[in-house]
Amino acid sequence: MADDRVPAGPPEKKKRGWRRSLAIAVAIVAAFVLYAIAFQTTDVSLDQLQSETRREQLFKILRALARPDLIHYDQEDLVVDAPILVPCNPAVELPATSGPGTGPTLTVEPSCASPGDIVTVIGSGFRADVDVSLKFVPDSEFDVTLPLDRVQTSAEGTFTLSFEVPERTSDNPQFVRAVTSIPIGSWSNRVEVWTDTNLNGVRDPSALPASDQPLSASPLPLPEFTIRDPGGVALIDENGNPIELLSWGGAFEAQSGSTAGLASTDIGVDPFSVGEGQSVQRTGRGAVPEDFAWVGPAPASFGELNAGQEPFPEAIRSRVFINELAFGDSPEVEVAGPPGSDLTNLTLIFFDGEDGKQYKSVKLGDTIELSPRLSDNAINTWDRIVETVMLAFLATTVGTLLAVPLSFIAARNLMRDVKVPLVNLGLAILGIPVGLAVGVQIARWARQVALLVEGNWVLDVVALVAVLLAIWRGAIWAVDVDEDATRTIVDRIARPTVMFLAAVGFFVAQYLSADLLMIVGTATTRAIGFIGNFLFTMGEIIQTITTPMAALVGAGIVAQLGSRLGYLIRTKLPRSTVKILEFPIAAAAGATVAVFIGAVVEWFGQFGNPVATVYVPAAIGAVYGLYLAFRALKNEAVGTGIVIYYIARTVFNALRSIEPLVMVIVFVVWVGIGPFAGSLALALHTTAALAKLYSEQVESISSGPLEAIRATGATRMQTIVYAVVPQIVPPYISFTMYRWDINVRMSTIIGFAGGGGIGFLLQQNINLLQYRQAAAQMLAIAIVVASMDYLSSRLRERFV
Amino acid sequence: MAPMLEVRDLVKVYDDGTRALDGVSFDVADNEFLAVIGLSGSGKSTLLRCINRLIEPTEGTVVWDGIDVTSASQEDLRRIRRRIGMIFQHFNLVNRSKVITNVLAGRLGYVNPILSLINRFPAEDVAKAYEQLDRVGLADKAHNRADELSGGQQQRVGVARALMQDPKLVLADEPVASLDPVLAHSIMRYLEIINKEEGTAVICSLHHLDLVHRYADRVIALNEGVLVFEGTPEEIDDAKFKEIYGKEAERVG
Repeated sequence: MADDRVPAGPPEKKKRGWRRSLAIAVAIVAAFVLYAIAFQTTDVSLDQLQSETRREQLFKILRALARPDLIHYDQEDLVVDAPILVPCNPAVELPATSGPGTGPTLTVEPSCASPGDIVTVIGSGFRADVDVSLKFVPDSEFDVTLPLDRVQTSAEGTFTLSFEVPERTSDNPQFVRAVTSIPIGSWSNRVEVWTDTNLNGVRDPSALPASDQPLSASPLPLPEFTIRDPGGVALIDENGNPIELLSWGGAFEAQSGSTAGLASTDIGVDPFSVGEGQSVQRTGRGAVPEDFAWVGPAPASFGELNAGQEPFPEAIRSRVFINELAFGDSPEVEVAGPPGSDLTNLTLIFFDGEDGKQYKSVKLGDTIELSPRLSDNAINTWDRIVETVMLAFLATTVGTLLAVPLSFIAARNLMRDVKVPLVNLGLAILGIPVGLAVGVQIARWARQVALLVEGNWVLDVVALVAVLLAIWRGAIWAVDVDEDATRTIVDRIARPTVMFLAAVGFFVAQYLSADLLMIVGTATTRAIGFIGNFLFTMGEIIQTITTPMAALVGAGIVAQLGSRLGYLIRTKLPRSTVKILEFPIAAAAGATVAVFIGAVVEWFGQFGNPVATVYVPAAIGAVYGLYLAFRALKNEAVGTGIVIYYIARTVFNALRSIEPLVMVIVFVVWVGIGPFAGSLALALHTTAALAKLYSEQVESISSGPLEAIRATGATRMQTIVYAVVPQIVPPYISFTMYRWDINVRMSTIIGFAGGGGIGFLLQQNINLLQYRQAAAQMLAIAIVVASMDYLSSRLRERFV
Repeated sequence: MAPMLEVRDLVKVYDDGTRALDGVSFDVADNEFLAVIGLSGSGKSTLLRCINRLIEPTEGTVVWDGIDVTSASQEDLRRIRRRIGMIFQHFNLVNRSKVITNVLAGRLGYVNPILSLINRFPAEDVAKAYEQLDRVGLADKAHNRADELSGGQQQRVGVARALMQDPKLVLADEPVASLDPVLAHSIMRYLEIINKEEGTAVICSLHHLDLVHRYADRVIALNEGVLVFEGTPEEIDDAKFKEIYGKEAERVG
C-alpha cells in the first residue's frame, strides 16, 4: 500500500547537543548585531531625549495638545499707560497717568530713570488673577512697542513688576503700557451686554425705540476702557462721515481718521465728575441737536428724554446725536434721535484731547455671540469629521457592492470545479472581443430608443414601467423551458430572441431611469439642494456605466454562445474531427489572450514596438494554445475556474498591499484634491480587501449544503443563492462593519495625501505649529474612532 | 428488461493519486433496494457521488435510464440530477434557512431559474412541500430554522427534500450513521416506503448489517475501491464477512 509511511527515526540526541548550542550562540550573536544595526539606522539618541531645549519644546506642545482649541471667548484689550522720562529731565513735565480715578491705574517708581536702571511698575484696580502684558512704548512716530514681561494680577487686582529701562532716550515722556484681555459677552460678564429675545448678547440695540414723541433715546453702556480727559467723542454715520464731535476739558481739532480737521464742540460740563445715578445731559427746547444745551451733573435719565428736554414736534428729522454722557464707575452714553432710527453701523470714536488722535472706536448695533462659544476651529473640525465619516461610509458601500460578486470568483471551492472543455473555452475566448463590440452597439441602440422620450418625465415614467414589465414577463417566459419536452422552433428561435430583446430593454430602462433621475434631480435642486444633486449625479453615473456594462454583458453572452457552439461541435462531430478542430481554435484563443496582455503592457510602457507587444506575444499565445490542445488529446476539460481564481487572488493581494494613502495620490491627480479622491482610493482598497476576506468566508462554508443543492439539479446561480448566500450573510455583514471601522480610521489620515477629511486640517495645523488647533482634531479623531469601534462591535454582535 | 442503472468499469483517481474506485461494475433494476457496504474509506461515498457526478469519475460509464451520465453536458446533467434524489449522512441542510426553504430546494431543477433566485416557487410546489413535510411528520416545523431541529428531524427534512424531486432513484449516503438505532429505523422505514410503495429504486450505503438484512434486496460490497461481493444479504456468511471487512473484523449486531 502507498499508505505505508516510514516512521521518522528517533532523534540522534548526542550528536545534536553541541550543534544545538552552537546554533543558539550564533542566533544570539546574530540578534545582537541585528539590534545594533537597528539602533544605528534609527538614530537612537539619548542626547536628544535629555536636551533641555528639546524638552521645553516638548512640554509646550504637550500642554498645547492638552488644551484643544474648542471654545472661544470674545475678548477686548484694556490698555493703561503710565508715563516715564528716560533719561531724567526736570525741565519736562510728566503728563498725568492716563485713565480716570476709577478703574485700573498704573504708576512707575521712579518716574524717571536712565537706560539700564531698574524701575518698578505698580498696577492696581485690575481684575483679579488675570494676565497682564507690560510693554514699553517709546517715543516714536511709528506705532511700536517693546515687550517687557507678563505678570498675573493678585486677588486684589494688583501687581508689581521691576524691569530694566531699555536703551531708548527721548526728551518727550514715554510710556509703560499694561494690556489685559477682558472677556466680553461671556456669561460672567453679562452686565455689559444687552440681551435680545434670542438671548444673544447684544452690546446695544440696533434701533432707537419707537415712541409717540418726536425723539427717543437709547442708552449705550460702554465697554471697559479708559476714557481720556481731556478728550472727545465723535458719532460717525454708516458711511464713515462724522455727525458730530463733542469734547470735554477743552476743544481740539481731530487729527486722524475720517474726522481729521474737524473742530470739536466743547460741551462745557465735566462728564467725569458725576456721582452715582448722575450724568451730564442736553436739555431745553429745540429743533436741531445744537439747540439743546449741556447741563449737569444732573440725575441720569438714560433711555428716556432728559429732564426739561422739549423737542419741536416738526423738527429733528433723520439725525441721531449724543444726548447724555456719564463717565463714572460704569461709563455710559445715550444717543437720541427720531424714534426707530437705525443705529447699526454707527460708530462712536473716542479722541484724546491732548493730541486730537482717536484711540478707541465702539461700533453700535454690534451683536456679540454669547461666549464662551465653539471656536471657529471647533466648527471646522466638526465639518471635517462629518466629511471623514461620510467618506468612509461611501467608500465602504461602494467597496462592499463591488466586493460581493468578486468574492465568488476568488473562492477556491466554487471555482475549483469549473472546468471547461478546450473547444468551448477557445470559442468562448474568441467570442469575448466580438461580444464587447456587440455590447457597445447594443448600448448605442438602447440610447437611441431612450432618446425618443428623454427630457419628458411623464413619458419617461410610462416608458420605464412598460419596458420593465416587458423585460420581466419576457425574461421569465424565455427561460421557462420544459427541458424534458422536445424543443420546438419557438424554443429554438423565439425564446433566445426575446431574451436578447430583454437585454436591450434592460439598457433602455437604464437610460430611462438615468434621465428620470436627472430630471427629478434638477427639479429638486431648488428645494433641497443636496438631494437634488445626489439624484442628478446618480443619473449621470447610471448613464455613464451603461455602455461598459453592455460591453461586459455582451462579452459574457457571446462567450456563452461560443461555449454552446463548442458543445454542439463536440456532440455532433466525430471525436477525431473535434480533436483536429481543437488545434486552430486553441491557437487563435491563445493568441487573442496574449495580444490583449501585450496591449496592456504597451499601454503602460509606450514602447511603440509592435514586434514585442503584438507579434511575439501572439505567437507565444498561439503556441501555448497548441500545447494545451495537445494536452487536451488525453484530458479534455481545462480548469478555467482555478486560473480565474489565481488571477483574482493575485490582483486582490496586489491592490490590498498598496496603502490607500498611496492610492490617493493617483486619484488626486485624476479628480483633484478633496474627499472625492479619498473616497475613491478607500473604495478601491476596500474592494480588494473585502473581496479577499469575503472569499475566505466562502471557502470556509460547509460543503454539505452545496453538494446537496447541486444534487437537486440546481444551476450554478441557484446553488450560490440557496447554499452559499445563507451561510455567508452573517460573516459578510460582520466584515463590512469591521471594514467601515477601518475606513473611518484610514480616512482620518487620508487627508495627509490630499484625500479630504479631517487629516487635511490636522496636517495644516501641525505644519503651522498650531498645536492647540491640531489637538482639537486629534480629539475628534479619537472620539470618532472609539465610538465607531464600539458601534461596529455592538452591531457585529447583533448580526452574527 | 434493461436495468435502470448500469455502472461499468468505474474508476476514480483523486488528484493526490488515491484510487478510490477501481473498475466497479454493477446494475440496479427498477424498484430495487440496493445496499452498499464496506469499511470507511472503501469508496462507498465516492461511488454514490459518481452516479450523479457530484464527483467526476476518471474512467468508466454510468448509464441511467438509457442516458450516458458520464458524457452528459452540464445542462443534461442537471436534467438527470433532478430525477435522482440524494440523502446525506450529515443531512446537508442549509442551517440558516427555514425548513420549508430547504424542502423547496428539492424543486430547483424544475422551476424557473429567474423566479427561483428571488425565492418564488409555483403554488403547487409549495403545496407539495407542505405535503411532504406532513408526510415525515414535521408540518409544524415548516417555518423553523433548519438548525433548530434535532438530528432525526433534520434527516427527515433531508428525506422530504429528496422526495420533492419526484425521484426515480434515491441515493442515500449512510443516511442513519449519525442517528441512534431508533431514529435509524424510522428513517430507513421512510426509504422502504419510497422503495416499496412508490417503486423508486434506492441505493443506500450502510454500516450496520442488521439494517442491510432488514431492508435491502441486494447488497454490493466494496473493499479499497474494488467490488468484492454482490448478492443477497443472506449470502453474507462469516467467510464473506471477513473478505469484506478484513480478517480482524468481528461481527457486531
